[in-house]
Amino acid sequence: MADKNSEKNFKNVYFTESRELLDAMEMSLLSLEKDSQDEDSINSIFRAAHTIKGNSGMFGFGRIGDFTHVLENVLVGARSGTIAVKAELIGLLLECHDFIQVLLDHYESEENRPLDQESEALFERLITRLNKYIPDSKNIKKLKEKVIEEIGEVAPSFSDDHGLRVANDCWHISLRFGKNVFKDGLDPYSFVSYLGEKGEIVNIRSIYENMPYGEEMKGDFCYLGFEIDFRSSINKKEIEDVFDFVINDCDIRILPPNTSIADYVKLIEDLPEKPMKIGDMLREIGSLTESELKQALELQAEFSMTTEKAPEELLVGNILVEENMIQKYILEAALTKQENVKKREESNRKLIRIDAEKLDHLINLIGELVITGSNVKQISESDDKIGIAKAVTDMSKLIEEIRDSTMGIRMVPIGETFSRFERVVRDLSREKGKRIDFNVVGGETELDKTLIDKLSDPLIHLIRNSVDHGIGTPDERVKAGKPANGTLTLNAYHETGSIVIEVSDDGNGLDADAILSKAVELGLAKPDQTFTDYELYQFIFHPGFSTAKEVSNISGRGVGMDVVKKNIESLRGNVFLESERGQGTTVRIHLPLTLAIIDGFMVRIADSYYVLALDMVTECTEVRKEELDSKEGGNYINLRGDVLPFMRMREFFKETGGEPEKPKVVVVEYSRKKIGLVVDDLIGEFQTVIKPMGKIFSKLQWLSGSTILGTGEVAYILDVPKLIKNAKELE
Amino acid sequence: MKLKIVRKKTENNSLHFTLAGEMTVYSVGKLKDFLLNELKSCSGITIDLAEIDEADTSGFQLLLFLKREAAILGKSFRITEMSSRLRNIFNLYKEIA
Repeated sequence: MADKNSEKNFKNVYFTESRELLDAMEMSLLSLEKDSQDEDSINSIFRAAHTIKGNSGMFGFGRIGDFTHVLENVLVGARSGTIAVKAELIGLLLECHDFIQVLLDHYESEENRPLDQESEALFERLITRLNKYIPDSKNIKKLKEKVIEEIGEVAPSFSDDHGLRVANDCWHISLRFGKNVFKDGLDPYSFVSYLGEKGEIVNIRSIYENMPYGEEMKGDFCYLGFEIDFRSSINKKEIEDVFDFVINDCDIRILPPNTSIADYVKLIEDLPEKPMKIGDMLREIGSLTESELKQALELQAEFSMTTEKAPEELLVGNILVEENMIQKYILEAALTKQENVKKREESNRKLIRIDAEKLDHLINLIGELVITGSNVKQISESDDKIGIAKAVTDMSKLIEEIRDSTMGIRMVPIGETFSRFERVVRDLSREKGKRIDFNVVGGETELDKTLIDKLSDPLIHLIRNSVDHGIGTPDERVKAGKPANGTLTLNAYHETGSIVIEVSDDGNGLDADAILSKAVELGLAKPDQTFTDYELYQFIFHPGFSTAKEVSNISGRGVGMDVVKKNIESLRGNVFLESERGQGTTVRIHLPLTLAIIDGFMVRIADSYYVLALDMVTECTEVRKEELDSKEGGNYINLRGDVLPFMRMREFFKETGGEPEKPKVVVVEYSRKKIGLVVDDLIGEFQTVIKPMGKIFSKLQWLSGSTILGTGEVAYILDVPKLIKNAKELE
Repeated sequence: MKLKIVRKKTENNSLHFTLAGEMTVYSVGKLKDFLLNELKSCSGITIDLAEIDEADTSGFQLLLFLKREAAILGKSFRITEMSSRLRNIFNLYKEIA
């Protein structure tokens, strides 16, 4: 009966939002580190902590609430200037940030379990360290209220986009009068009617649930309460003022218009009557809609469940019996850990934030498509051939546009991910005693969300490599005639049909000699062999290859570049290395624009159709067969004065028979290399949905997938990057 | 207590009361005990409140109470007439008499 999904959605939204807030917090902390007077940063950190705290209460994630509460206190102090913002404090705050992340992970994967001992200990340690900063805890509460007032109360903001706010645009006022109100000569009537003068009492219900029955009830005691829906432009303070005279003898709870369901959950929780009764009342007077009420009651039920559980949790770890429980928890935790990580990844995948503008655009297009569709239908009933052709063209144009913008929905600027690495660089360089400036270029470059997620690990690895091996300590650098601060740059840009991401540093560069001797040691090369730089660098991608003289905890264990390469290749991308001794290293990652649909260019070779990614096709040309045959020793043609290597695809795919009299050449380019592919015929542009090849075809290295043509025939998608690489190796 | 009560037996062991005067915190204590007792002894009550010239929320609360008690005891409780003062209170609290 209960809509479990909506509850799960709330949580998913909570976790997504909290992580976003944490990201913002981290960035603010890093900028605070550069400028300790930056008030905006402190405010944003506080806001993040405050919102996470507020929202966590809604789900009964007690530890997050407890922790952010103390964190808030310190931040209040920092903001008011009673606590000096020093590097040490920022370090601590960053640790706190990390810990909140741990807590979030914990609650997301196993919400009902207590924390494991390790986290619990860390929790205590951090709290102790935080508390040291708070000089007088008495004033903190007042200060905090002031801060909240100044920077604005942050209502659980995630409700905004996700319909968690109630539709009701009235204030909701809950009054519970004390027993002695009548005897004290106060009449609720006068207050309520005075309230009526300040605005419109849209609805009101008297509540007397807790009035005793029969003889027990005393006529002159007041047992009344009221639930009021009140529409007015006055503010909360002014509403409170209405009840000023009775303030000591009346519980007043005021909820603003369109507040979050969480607030109502809290209200239902706080009021003395039974939740169901209050809920019904809220629905009757129109404060909550039926479905809002349902959500609220569900959340409320869960909330009270988790709070009741608390004492039980506290027992854990007390005495003998409980010891067994810990064992059980540890065991279970270990067993389920893997599963949980997986679960979390899945839930991460479910939620994606979309730019509202993109969505609007898409909806617009769909609207137009509907109109064009009916137009096509109408015209097709007539004999107007030209009209039909035109309408169909319009429609396919629209479909194309819709495809593009649908794909665009998944595109997010990579800058956000990039700036997340700032923290990694900061922590690592401190640990290693290095000074590194971190730059981001082209952060606005858009990339498929899935790609970005999968890129994160390889990029972190490359960054670690740069910090650990590439860039030297300030002393070393000054000796080498370079500025003491190293530079690490992340750069993203578009290039023919792909997106390029570069990680470059101005460090020591790759040590060709060391690579060679290591390669010899591993039996990959002979000592007297000579290699080009390019060939040498390829050894780095060999599993277990590391030239680091000592293994550090950051890198140098020899697992790495091969994994990076594998990861990137699984995204249909490629990794390239450029390095100059003493000047620095650049790792260049080429990635396809999107994963699933490409604009293809179809060609025919013998009886089979093949599709090339259109982005990689630079031009098509026609040659005479003799021109191809007459070349001796090398497959080159003259393309307007340039030497262009070519591959005869018929030969390559071992098709029988020669090319037609006038074979066509498709010139393709990838990562700044061009080759010509000799094919029988050009078919034309073609939109393709890539279907991955089955496992048994995994050895077919020249094909990256297949697609089905309108005729039902299968066309193969040529892996152009591999073909180019192959051609270059043949040279 | 400036409250006048006229008690009248009607058919089917019902009682009809006509109340006049003040239905405020000063009178509701005793009025409550009185009416609750009467309610228990009869099968139902009708009550005429047209002459209540002074009333406050405690009077309102008492009427809510009697209505609830009657429902629990399975007896009828009906207000036949109401003074404008009482009517105001019921209107403000949007309660149907």
